[in-house]
This record gives sequence, structure tokens and C-alpha cells, in this order.
Amino acid sequence: MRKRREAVVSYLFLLPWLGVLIVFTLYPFIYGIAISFTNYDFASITFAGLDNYKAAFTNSLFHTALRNTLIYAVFLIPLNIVFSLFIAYAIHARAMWFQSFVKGAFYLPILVNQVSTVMVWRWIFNPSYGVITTLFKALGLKTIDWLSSPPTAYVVIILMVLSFSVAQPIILFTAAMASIPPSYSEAAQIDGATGRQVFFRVTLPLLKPTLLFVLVTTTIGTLQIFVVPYLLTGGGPYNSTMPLLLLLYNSAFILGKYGYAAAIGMIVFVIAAVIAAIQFKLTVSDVQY
Amino acid sequence: MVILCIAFSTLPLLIMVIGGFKHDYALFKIPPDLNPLKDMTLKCYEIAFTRINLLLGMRNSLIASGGGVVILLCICSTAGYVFAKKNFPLKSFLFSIVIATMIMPAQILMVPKYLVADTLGLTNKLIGLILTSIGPSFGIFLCKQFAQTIPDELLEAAQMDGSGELNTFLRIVLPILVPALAALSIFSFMGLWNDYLWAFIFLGSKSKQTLPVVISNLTTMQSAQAGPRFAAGTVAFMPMLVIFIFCQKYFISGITVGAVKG
Repeated sequence: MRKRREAVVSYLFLLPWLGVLIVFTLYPFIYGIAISFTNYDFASITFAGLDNYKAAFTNSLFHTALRNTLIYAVFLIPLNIVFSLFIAYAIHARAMWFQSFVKGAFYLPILVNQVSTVMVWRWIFNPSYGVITTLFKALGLKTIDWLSSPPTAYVVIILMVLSFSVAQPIILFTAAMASIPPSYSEAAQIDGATGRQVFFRVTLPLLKPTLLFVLVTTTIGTLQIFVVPYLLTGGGPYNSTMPLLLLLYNSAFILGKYGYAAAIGMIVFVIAAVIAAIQFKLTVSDVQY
Repeated sequence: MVILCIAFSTLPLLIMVIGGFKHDYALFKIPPDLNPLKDMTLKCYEIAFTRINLLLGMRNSLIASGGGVVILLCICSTAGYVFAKKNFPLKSFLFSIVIATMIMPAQILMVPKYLVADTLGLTNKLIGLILTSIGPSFGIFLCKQFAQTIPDELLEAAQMDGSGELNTFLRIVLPILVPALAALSIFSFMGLWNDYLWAFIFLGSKSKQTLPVVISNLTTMQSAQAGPRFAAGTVAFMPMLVIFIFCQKYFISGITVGAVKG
């Protein structure tokens, strides 16, 4: 009787969450899977089996978007992790106010929302009157039209996304580094290890859980890049900077091909799940103290 | 070296803030004249406020972000408390759903969520935006951690004194959850305030647009004038800066609680 009452009360308390969850998360999830097997567009909805998936895999635009997203991932993830580790290591032993200052500085780009930041960067990189252009002229270098060709456009996009994405890893890594007892690195140094050896053999392995978390979140974040390419280049020139999410957006909300877009969403989901599983397998191992 | 990187990330911000106060010609000069001591003007702000509906955008963003935080807090505190202190059938199953939703990337839900909201008649309404934007998983996780620290004896004592369930929740559990809720509110408010993608997709009419979308309107008009755009961006940024300055420690604690064991 008491157990029953407890169950009833619990579910009553859970109602707010369950309400939102079922309507806006669970049902859409299933609905999304269902739609991806249909030809749902503005006008009609007909069952289409695996057509959408086949179409995605043979479509060259999809390949381009996939390639772009992969390029972003290949650069963003390592750069992010290396950079955050470096900064975290550089500041973790310093005074608290210094740490807060640095963390704050890197958090600022996140506070200024992406729309505004893109505006400013666009202005900086403008080939006619941008700051970078002036700088190049002063140094005697040839001016580049940054956004009009793939390699340089990638550089700009990657730099921008990096500026938003390093803050959280830095904060996490400094916190993790602070929780490593200094006696470990001291013991290693007594045994004759150099600073570099201490970092790679002692600190890094102990950071594994945090490293995994950062790795997984950065990967998922890279798959979801949208704002920067959309506002900066619109996916151009000739779709060379278009990431997967932008393709999904265009298919669904501009072309109205909901079924196809849902299929793309599913594919991205599977990719994310697979990558996360691989990363998990590779980095989870016993850390010996 | 560290200084260089910091400069790199703060530079755009400085440009935006100072640039918003300059005349057109100052920004077009080569090299651009960004000296904060020369020639400052409010003209760009004037243009920003009249050309696009910045004030309306602010109002909408405030409603969306504020409302979202309130609803989120309700959901997370109740669910977190229950997962921490109560036993009921399907408990571990439901909790694994919480974890699963935490790691699910947003893409997969984008299209169906929009379609579902459309069927319910919620698209292009701020309340619809709020309900579809909140992701309570992390918050539930956080509240559960905090609620678990409440001694069981305390709750039992309250029950023996005749306190009903709701009363216990409001008088005992909630006050203990306050730090978690504070950190949660700050993060969610920021996330909702700066959200561009979903607001862009979800809201169609000009009268409902939130701030980031409104600012992007300015970007697509009149490509030449950077000044007003900088001014608009600064306006959007100000509340964030205020929150950030006053709530620094909540930020850090909010990010680290979930990820670092111990």
C-alpha cells in the first residue's frame, strides 16, 4: 500500500518532465525514424522504403556535405583538445585570479552570440577594408579573398568555431588537473623525469575520463556546426563549405523534403553514435595508480 | 603565448563594442579607425534600433529565455528529487532515458520536432519555442546529485510531522537545490538567449523573432554598414556580460559538476 502510494506520488512529480519528454522528444524520435522511410514533402506522404537513404548515399551534394563535415572534424577536434590541454596546463598551477581571468577571456566569445561574432569576423576578413587585409598589405603579402575559395574559407570557419569551443574543455581540464595530487608529479620528478615526461606519463593518463568526455562532446559538437558556415558563406562557394546540418536544414525547410531530411538526420545520428562508441572503447582503460 | 590566444579571442568583442560607437567613415578608413578616444557617436545605435526591431527582439528573447528557465527549473527539480529519493517501477529505465537524451545530437530531432509542433499549432509562437528548446536531461542529472545529499531522516521527520508531499518538496528539498538551480538557470538562460538555429527555424513572423534572429536580419540588409550591426551585437551581449560578471563561480561549478568525478 505504501509502495503504491510512493509510486503514484513519484509519477505525479515526474509529470512535467514526462509531458515534455514524450511530446517533444520521444514521439518526434520515433516519428523521425518513421518519416525517414517516406516521401514526405509539402503536399503528400507516401511510403518509400529505403529510397531516401539510397538517395543520400548516391547524392553528390550529400557526399560534399559529408566531406566538409569530416574536414571540419579532422581539424577541429585535435586542435581543440591540444590547445585546451596546453592552456590548461599552462595555467593550472597559477593563482586563482589568473585562472579565472584566462577562463573568462576564452568564455567571452560564447557570451557574444554567434551571430554577432560572425559579423565582426566577416568585417575583419573583408578583402577590401578588413583589418587582416590591411595587415597583409603592411607586411607586403598578397591580399587574399578569404571567403571565396575553399582552403582559406575553411581556415576562417575553423578559427571561428575554435574560438567558441575551447572554453569548456579548458575549464574541465584545469579542474581535472587540479584534482591530481601534486605528490604524483613530485614522485616522478624525484625519479628523474623531465617536465615533458611528467606531462605525458603522469598527468595525461590521469586525465583520461575528462579527455573522453571532451572528445565525445567536441565530436558531437562538430557534427552540429551550422551557424558559422550559414552566416559566413551560406555554404558556398558552390557548396564547398556546407556542413551536414546545413544540408539537412536546406532539404527540410527550404526544399520541403522532410522525408529526405529525416533520413539525413538519422544517418548523422548513427555516425555520432558509432564515433562515440569507438572513442569510448579506445580511451577507457584502467589507470594504474 | 597565452596572452596571444586571449587577445585573439577577445579582439572581435572589442571591435564590436567600440565599433558600435563609430561613424561610418571611421570604419571604412584603411586602416579602420578604432581609437576609443576619438569621435564616438550614438548614431549607429539609433540606426540599429529603428532599422530593425531591436526592442521587440529583446522583449521576445526575454520572454523566451526567462520562460524557458522557469519551466526548466520546474521540470528538473521535480524529476531530480524523485530520482534521488523515491522508488517506483521503471525507475532505472526512465533514468537511462535521461542519460540517452543527454548524448543525443539535436539533428535527428529537428525535423520531426518541428512537424509535431506544427500539428499542435505551436510553431511561430514563443511558448512553442520554449517547450521545444529546453533540454532538461543535464538539469535532472544535476538536481538528482544535489537531492541525494538530503538526509533521509530529514524527509521522514517532515512526514511524521504531517507534512504532505508537496509541502516537503517546497519547504525542504527546493532550498537545498538552490545552488544547482542557480547554475542551471544561468546556463539555460544564456543558451536560450543566444540560440540562433532553432529560433530561426521555428519562428516565422517578424513580430515573434528573438534577438539573434533580429540581428541577423540586419546582416542581410545593406551590406555596407558595419557600425549598426556592431551596435546591435553589443546590445545583445550586455545582459550576458552582466550575468557573467556576477555569477562567475556558478559558471565554473555548473560545467564541472557533471563531468569531473569527485
